[in-house]
Amino acid sequence: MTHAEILVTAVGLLLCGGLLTAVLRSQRPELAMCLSLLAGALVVGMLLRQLSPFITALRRMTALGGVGENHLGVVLRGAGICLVTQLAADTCRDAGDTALAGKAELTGRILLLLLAVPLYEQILTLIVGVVNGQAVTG
Amino acid sequence: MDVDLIFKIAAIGIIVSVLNQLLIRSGREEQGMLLTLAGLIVVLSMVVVQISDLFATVKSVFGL
Repeated sequence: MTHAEILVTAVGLLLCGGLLTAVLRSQRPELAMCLSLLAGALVVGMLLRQLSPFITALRRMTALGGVGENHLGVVLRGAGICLVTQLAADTCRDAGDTALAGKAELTGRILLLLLAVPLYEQILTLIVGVVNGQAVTG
Repeated sequence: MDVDLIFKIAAIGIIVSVLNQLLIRSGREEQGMLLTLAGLIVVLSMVVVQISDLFATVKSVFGL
């Protein structure tokens, strides 16, 4: 797929989904919500499939720069968590349930914290090692 | 294809709402309720497949 095709497909899907959602919303709000969720999922799935060569290029570049592979993995996992929780929160907010949207965002934040804890530990051990005058490793 | 699914769900929504109006006018509210539920289940079963597809893509791309 060329870039123009991706753009046209995404815009077409989103416009069709938005228009039909607007038609359905007054009569059947629950089906309108399903429809907007489906349109969003289709577009995001298509975009992610186009993104995978970029991710492999990113992995190659970080390997070139000597940054640990697991560091990039943490960043990518964080991006994935953000994407999924944002989808859930937006859908809940569209359905008028702000409380559940807040819970979805809270879930994402807690998962990101859990993901980042090992990195903080690494930094702390590095600092402690430097302060104690030991040789810095890794 | 992708757009077909969107149109299909919109068509289901319109048909369900028209039939629902018809049933309510003829005094069968509980059947209208069941029709609404049936439409929702059909649409959800179509959406869930796509959502799981999206989650599989997210998992494979971001290495979750």
